[in-house]
Amino acid sequence: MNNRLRVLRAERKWSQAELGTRLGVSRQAVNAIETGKHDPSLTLAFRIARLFGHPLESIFEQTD
Amino acid sequence: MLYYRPASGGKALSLGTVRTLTAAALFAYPAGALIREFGSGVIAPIVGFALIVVALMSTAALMGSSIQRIVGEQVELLDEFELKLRNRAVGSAYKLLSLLILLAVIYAAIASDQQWWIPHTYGEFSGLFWGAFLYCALLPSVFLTWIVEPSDIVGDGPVE
Repeated sequence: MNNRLRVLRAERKWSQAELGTRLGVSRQAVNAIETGKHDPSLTLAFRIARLFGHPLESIFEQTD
Repeated sequence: MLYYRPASGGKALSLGTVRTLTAAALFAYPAGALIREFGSGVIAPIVGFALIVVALMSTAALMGSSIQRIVGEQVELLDEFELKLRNRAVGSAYKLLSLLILLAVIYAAIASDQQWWIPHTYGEFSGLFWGAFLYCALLPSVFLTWIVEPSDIVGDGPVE
């Protein structure tokens, strides 16, 4: 699954650690999601969408 | 919490350090125990004891590390990525531990017939107990150190 998390975070000039704090996860989790090593749970994905004020499908994109 | 000494998010050790410490602990302890049990001469007990001390010191250093935190911390204090890492590491460690237990049982079954060594004294059973405890505590960490990348653990990788 691809995502635009790194772009959205950069737009707000947040560090991975800062985003992690806002989402209630570790910096390592943010890094893993950004690099595609970890697909977030639905709960976390919705939390990310709500934090950035974007619909889920504009942040995450399913790849075949 | 059994195998983890809480230290506010885990002590930041590099991946290389953690790999070295886990390897030292898991090799030095059995090596030291075997040398103490079967070594001859005055130097063998000293070398054996020194290896066991190395293993225990390595274990003590690991107990508060961020890697050990992923293995031993309470579930509700880990995030979903850390839980995913833990599940992979514990699953692999379980398979290896199962194999070691089966081999130990087979050895014990054969050893009594073949007059091979089996523990008799309190000291020998104590050594086996603490060795088993050490392996139970550290095997998941060993797998974890080879699953993760430097950026996956506290103390390593770029902070952006």
